[in-house]
Amino acid sequence: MIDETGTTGAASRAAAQTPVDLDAIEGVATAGAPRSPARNAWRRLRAHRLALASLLLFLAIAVVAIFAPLLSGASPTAMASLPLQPPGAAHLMGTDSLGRDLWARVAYGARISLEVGLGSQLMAVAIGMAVGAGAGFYGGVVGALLMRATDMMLSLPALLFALLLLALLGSSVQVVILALGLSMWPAIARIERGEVLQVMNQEYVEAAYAIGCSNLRVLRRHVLPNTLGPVAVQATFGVSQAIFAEAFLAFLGLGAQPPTPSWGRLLTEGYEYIRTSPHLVLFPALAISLTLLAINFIGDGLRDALDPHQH
Amino acid sequence: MGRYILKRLLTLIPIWLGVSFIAFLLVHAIPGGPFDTGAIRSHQATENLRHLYHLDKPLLEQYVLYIWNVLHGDLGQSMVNRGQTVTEVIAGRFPTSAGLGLAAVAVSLGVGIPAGIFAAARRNRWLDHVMMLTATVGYAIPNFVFALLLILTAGLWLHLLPLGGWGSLSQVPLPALALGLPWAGLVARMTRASMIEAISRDYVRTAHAKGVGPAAVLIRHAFRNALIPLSTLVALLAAEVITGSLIIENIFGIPGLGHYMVDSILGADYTMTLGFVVFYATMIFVANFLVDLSYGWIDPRIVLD
Repeated sequence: MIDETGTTGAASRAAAQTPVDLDAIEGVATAGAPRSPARNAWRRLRAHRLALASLLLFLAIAVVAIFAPLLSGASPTAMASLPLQPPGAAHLMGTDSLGRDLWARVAYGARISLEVGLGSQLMAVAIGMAVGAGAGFYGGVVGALLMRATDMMLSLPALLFALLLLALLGSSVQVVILALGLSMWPAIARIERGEVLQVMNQEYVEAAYAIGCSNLRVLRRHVLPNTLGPVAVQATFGVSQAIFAEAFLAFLGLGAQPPTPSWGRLLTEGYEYIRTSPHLVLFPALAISLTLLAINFIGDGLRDALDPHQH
Repeated sequence: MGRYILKRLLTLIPIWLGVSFIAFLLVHAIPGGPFDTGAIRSHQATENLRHLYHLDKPLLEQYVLYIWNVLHGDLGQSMVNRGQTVTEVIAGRFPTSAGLGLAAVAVSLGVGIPAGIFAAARRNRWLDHVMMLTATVGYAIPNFVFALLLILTAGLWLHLLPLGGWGSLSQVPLPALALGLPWAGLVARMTRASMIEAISRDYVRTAHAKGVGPAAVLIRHAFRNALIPLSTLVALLAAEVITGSLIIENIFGIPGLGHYMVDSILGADYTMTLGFVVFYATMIFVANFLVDLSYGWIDPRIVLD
């Protein structure tokens, strides 16, 4: 690895004397390349038919979530018909114990699941990449402290942490997102740190220092972009873990409060009537299982396409 | 080896201090103390209770006192169910959770490992594809969804097994399957991946060349190499199954730790909550520690230090 104090110090002095266009120099290296890594990855992902089909399914679920008011045709919280109607023409998935349209409730439930899945992972990636990159790039005492903090969070049981936070800040979807984001960043941080350490040993990083890039520029232009693959894979699986966790908490009565429909809550409500109206359990179960399955297949595809260690 | 064990055990201390401190702050930040609601009692009685549990002292002093007691093996008394110590509650209920957890681990390994070996042996044939698709689907289905489906099919429709409760053998299979089956999918996928890697190695070809039977090559030569990544997964699985069985315990009405834990946290039972945090963090640590120790036993080339 490069001696940071010596080489970069001298290099930045040199850069100060003769201003060079770093973008132009760096551009030379990539302009001649036949395919960018991103295009290679997209090519491999396209070959993964299951992942592609799952991507379509996931997009369909996202469309249902976004356009729930248009697609559901009924209010998710208002009484639409007699209670406990079986699935039929009037009510695609039947009605629940209060006569609410189950399809509307499942469609609106997708909103909560996707919000929690994507929101918590956005947070986990932001914190995890900052901590992991900081620990990997700077090392030393700061790096060691950051990693100890990461290990500490890892040994705090995630579910307990979520329960404590929900008790502290009140039970709402926002707190669920916060709790899951805060308990899922350590996994990303560890991966990011490992990747940064590996990338720092590559010749192109040495080359970047040699042409006079500053620490920050090396980190931003050369190191971070090359660590994105494994992080994206982890975050994808994180989305499905978070959706699972939200349903889990809702099943216990935590998170979104009634009458807001969350898939986990639909399962709890349906469970009371499992003997007479099993459809109340089956449709939410199908929705959550299909969503998680689609995301996991996308994750598998992304891993094959992005993760260099797998080749 | 002795040195390694000692070194690892010493890292437990900062873990305990760290997680208990985070949990301590969170628990005390929750609005409403354990004696704020519920029973009708005089102001003086509440004050006496607060004094008894040192709640009238400054926060930092309370924490130091708590750690001091923990170091003496005293996790304190429950604040809600007075008269019961935290240690009693955990000791009384953990065997149930652990029993369910072990049964679930047995399900996931018993189903997952043979499936993974078969799939690897039939690599890229239709049986492999079908098995891996099933494994991925199984892994994606949450355990509580499995639980509801099992109750519906095996319990309500076929009347094969009791719907819940704990105490007789017939009450074990449903919760154990619900908890173990998702993990069986992951175990199968991991076994297959490591088996395929091992099968392409030179020593496996040598074994074939020596005339060792195909089954023996798979089990004795290839599978042994698949054990290392698998044992890492088992640690994760054991920790997850023991701490995450709460919802399954809820659905099947099993008197384990899970249900009690949720009530303790929501009921602001400070001592119980902290006890659970410390206990679970220790369990996760122990699972990882045992797996690291097993590396040296599975693969003698690995030296622990």
